[in-house]
Amino acid sequence: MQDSELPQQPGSTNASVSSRRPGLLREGLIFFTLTLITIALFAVTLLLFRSFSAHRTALAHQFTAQGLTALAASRPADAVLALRTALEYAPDERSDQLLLAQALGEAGRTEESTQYFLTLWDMAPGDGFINLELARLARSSNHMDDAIQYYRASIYGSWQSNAVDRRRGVRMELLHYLEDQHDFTTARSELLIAASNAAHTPAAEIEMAIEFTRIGDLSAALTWYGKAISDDPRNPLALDGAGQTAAQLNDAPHAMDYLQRALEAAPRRSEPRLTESQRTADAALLKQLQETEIEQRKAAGREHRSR
Amino acid sequence: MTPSDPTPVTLGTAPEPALTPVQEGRLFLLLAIFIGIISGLLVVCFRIAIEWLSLLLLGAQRSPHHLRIIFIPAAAGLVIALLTRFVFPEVRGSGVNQTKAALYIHNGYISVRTVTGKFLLSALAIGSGHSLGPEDPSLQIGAGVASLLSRRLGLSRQRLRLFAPVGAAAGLAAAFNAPISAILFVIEEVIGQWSAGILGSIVLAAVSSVVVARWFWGTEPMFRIPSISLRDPRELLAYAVMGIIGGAASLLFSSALGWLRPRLRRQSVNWQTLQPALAGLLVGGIGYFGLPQVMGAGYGAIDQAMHAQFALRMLLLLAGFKIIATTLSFSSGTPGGMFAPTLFIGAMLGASVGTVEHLIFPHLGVTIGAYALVGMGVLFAAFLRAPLTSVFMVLEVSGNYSVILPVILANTIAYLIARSLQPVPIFELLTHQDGLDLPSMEEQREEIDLRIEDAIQPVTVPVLDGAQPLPGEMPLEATAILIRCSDGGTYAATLGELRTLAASNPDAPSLALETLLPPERIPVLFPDQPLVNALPYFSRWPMLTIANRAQRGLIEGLLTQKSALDRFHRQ
Repeated sequence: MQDSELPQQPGSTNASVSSRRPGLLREGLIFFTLTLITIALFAVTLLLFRSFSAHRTALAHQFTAQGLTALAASRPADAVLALRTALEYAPDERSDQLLLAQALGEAGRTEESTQYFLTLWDMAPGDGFINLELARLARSSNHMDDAIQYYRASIYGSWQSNAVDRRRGVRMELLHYLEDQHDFTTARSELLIAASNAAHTPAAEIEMAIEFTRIGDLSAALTWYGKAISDDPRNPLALDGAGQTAAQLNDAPHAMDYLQRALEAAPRRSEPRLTESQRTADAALLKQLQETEIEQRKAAGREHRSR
Repeated sequence: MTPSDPTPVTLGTAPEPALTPVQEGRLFLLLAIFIGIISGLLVVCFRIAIEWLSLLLLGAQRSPHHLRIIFIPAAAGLVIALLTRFVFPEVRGSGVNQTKAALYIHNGYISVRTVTGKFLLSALAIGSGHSLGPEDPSLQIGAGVASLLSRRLGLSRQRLRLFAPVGAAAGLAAAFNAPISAILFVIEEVIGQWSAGILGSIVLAAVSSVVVARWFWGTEPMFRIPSISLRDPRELLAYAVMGIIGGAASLLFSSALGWLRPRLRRQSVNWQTLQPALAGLLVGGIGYFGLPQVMGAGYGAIDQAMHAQFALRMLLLLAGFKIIATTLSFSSGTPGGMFAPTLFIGAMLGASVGTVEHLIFPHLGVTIGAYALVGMGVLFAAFLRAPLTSVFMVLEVSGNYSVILPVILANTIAYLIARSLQPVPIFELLTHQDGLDLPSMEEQREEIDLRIEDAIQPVTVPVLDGAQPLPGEMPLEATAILIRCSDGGTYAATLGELRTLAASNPDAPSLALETLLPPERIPVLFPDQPLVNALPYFSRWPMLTIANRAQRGLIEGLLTQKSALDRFHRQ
């Protein structure tokens, strides 16, 4: 049996303590030495680690900047290389991940880009930007259902800033895509939603009118041109659109009125203004309508006289 | 051995311990914590050293068609070979077998020089692009720290041997950032069996080292794990296919190592000195011509595979060339581990299976990252033959128990295929190539410990009451006789012994039998105890009684030396 395990006898306490003292001292010394060694090693490691981490961060920034420069200069292949390297040094940098996925898409590596975005999507399925990029990739791969699904997810997804405008922009992009696919029924539904949220500015109202014209809903288009004209009675673009649309609806009196006002307003307005070709087209249409009206009046006079 | 190194402890030459057993016992757990912390710090430094060297030697941007990608690994290989030959002769290999050798041959002794050499040369090898990993060297570094500390403190030989696996677990845990897997690997591959006495220290050391590593690197594992789940039970078929592919790949990998390594080791010393440089040149060539991902540990590429950033062709190319590159690097004697390359190959093959499934069944919504993750475990189970560690590694690294079924399925299939086609595990193969005879952990794990109940026989001998006198007539056919004494014990005597006792006392016929007997009694043994525990008693007793744990005093059966030995022979 060891000393420390001996039963304590009355009167033997002092002897026992003194016999244990060297052992305790030695253990204390061991603990103290090990603590000192650990502290010294920790300090060295910390120093190395901080220096190493700072260097990695600097490298990540350097390669991110290279990637951005390459993207701006339309050199997506270089951007992919630089951004991949940046991500080696800062693997969790989300902006670099998004940029890399975007660069892969721009470099024509659609499959890789899609995979990358899908991985990012797994982590943030409600991200507006990721869904938009996936929609564009699906669009370029002719996967219409996927594209529409991602566009919608993007519209209802979260955006870092300027969310209202970004969502409206995505909806308009979806609308154009649907128009390109000749899916005018779905496009009209999207357009009605977009119109209900449109800003009360002549520019936004003209945009809505143009979209309604594109999907063939001329009455709605004329209504939206009318709203723009009521907000800005001398807006040449609104007057021009309204005139052209009214003409297509065979409403010659209103068409002539709008076109006349558009041609009169155009020279006095610096912004927005009609292009030369628009003015020429308006003038030609106005002349045609006036001639038709004159012909119709003559024909009506002849008919009246013959009776 | 160098003059500066302390004399290695070998059997029969143990120095006198400086601490008493009680002091050692008190310090044991405390030392385990210090070993964990110091190993963790050294492994962090080791990883930083690898990354710094990689930056310095290969540049910040590793892309193909740069000449330095070819020449740096070759030049580093030459430096490593010269230093291995003239300064650090013990640093060849991964570190796992060397730690086992230290444990089983040198009583836990690992020299300071070996640890230093392992740290420096492995960092140089991996940092310069040789296709090797840092985990196995970390394991040896941890074991070396434990060995050094326990030697300096003057611990006994028994404690020295115990501390090597404690340090090994700490080193591996810090390198892997996964304490449970490290503990299981050390138990599966270094110690070979569960031992409650050491488990506490191993756990303490591993957890301490991981706490240190995470303080620096954060809680994330070496690669980012995507969110994964088993979406459709039909996917299990794909995981089964992955198990088959993993088993076949492991066979290919171990066969390549088994074929090339002994051939290279048979060459002259001068030619061996050139081998790491040549291996570096070839590995660099693979990187130069388009696959720089195979260079070094390859964690970046594993991360990319995990996030489905490689096309199928690239995944297959990377898996194939990683097998070639690792075989070259490891067989050339360059120090470095095989864990990371194994995980790399597994991740690429797993991602390939996932990609194929995604192409064929896009509606299943396959997560390729899940396949890459499970693939890592598959190759780990099949190649390193550590099935339990492989399962827990995947679960621990992913933190996701929803993949446990695919992991177990794929790992088991791969393990069984590898086992049946390549009966000798890779670590044992390397041990044999090195001329050592270390215990096979796979066999040791599967050894069945015989219990007393396996050799127990019914009570067929006469049982006498010790309170009664010796009967006048003895049953001559009995080999021995049991005597139940009034003190509750049992005495076993041969007929000859009884006759001698009776003859020695003239009053024997009238005395209670137990008064004639010596005071000792048969030791109390139970059916569930190891059979080997009974063997020492046969020098004294002709047979042993086996007691019942539920009913005190009830004899369940008998055990004789012959029945015990017969049972051992039948095993």
